[in-house]
Amino acid sequence: MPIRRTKGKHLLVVLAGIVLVSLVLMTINIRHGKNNLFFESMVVWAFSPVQNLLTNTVDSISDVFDHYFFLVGVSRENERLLLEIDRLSRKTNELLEKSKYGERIEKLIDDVDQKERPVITAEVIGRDATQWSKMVFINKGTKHMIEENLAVITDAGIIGHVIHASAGTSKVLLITDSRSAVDSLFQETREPGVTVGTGKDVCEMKFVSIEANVKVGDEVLSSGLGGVFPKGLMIGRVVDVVKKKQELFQDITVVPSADLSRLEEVLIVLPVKEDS
Amino acid sequence: MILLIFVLVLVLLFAVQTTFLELFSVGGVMPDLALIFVVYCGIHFLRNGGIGVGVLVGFIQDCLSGALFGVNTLSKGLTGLFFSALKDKIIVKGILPISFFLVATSLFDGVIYFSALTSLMGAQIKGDFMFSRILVFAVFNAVAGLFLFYVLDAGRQQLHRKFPNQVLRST
Repeated sequence: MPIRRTKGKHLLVVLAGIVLVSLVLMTINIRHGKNNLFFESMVVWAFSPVQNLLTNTVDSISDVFDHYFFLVGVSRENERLLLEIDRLSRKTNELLEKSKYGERIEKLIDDVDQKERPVITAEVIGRDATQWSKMVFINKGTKHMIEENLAVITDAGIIGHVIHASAGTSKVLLITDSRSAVDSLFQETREPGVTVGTGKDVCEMKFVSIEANVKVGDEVLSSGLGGVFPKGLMIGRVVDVVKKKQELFQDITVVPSADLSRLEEVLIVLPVKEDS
Repeated sequence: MILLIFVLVLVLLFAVQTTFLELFSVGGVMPDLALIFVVYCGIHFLRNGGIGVGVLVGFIQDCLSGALFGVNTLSKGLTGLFFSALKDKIIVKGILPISFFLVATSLFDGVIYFSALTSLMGAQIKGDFMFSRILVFAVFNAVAGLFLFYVLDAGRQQLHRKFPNQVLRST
């Protein structure tokens, strides 16, 4: 009987210890916000070579499948692409004209804030170790001038921002994560809102007035407010709009323009260096 | 030697979890190898080894995740503690018991995570979405767990043959 009681007490102490350690870790995380934790950097550093190796191996294997085994339908695809090239050539000419017009206008405007933003390319080497968070690892870190709160994009648009940077690896929180929020606006109407993650593969645009004219297909850009994402970067496209009479705001679903499930190479937007 | 093998298995599990396991995801849900590993270790580590494994695995998972730090240490630590404490009183052998305990543990893990995310981090997640996701996660873990249990069982028996030890159960 005493042995059983001692064992019970022992388990109770262990239980209290686990809860206490977890709460201390959570408190550190909440109080220190996005500051680097030493052990976090150490674990990420230890795992990144294996992640790199596995990612490269999987990429090589999938490359072989993509370029050798999946040749069925390539001929039809080729015909379709030739037609697409014709269409795009016409479109390019139109855009070239518009671009030249834009350049002429730009020269007229004294845009002092407009500065070239340097970017660094990085490869995605891993994903979140849990189900519930939408995060990826990239193979660039503090030694490549990466720091917290830098915007991460692809040619298609914003994918997220850096939440933790260790020496050679960083964590990027994707815009679909439920803790992500990007101040944004509609490209056409310039109506503002906040694009928040849902934990699914889509985002929601919040705080868009019920009066605003929003339709499916509208494009959403970053507004530049908040200081993380530069203005004018593509976020996504509206796929669903629900207006409820009794609500103040509309329920708007936005699909990210970048394919977040197939990320390989990304760009990290570095801060603009002030001229000395 | 056992420690080295344990570390290697851990590295391999997390490397797989964070790289190509997503290829096998269903609707964005994939199995949690770390959780399955903790359940396995809780049952098969002698004395209270499973508790230490649970806390360690949870801690590493926290480091490799963008979520609130400490949530996985808590859920995996408690899972390790539960199975360590009850391993002599419950039978976790065969398809049904393994599946049952993995489903139960996954639901527990998901609920802890959901609670922490919404209460401590103020994340806005629709309840019905999250619970359906947790359910799929639990079922997926049960299926993947059967396979991983089989592989780990084979490895454990092999280990006992080559390096008889007092760390893992021999049967």
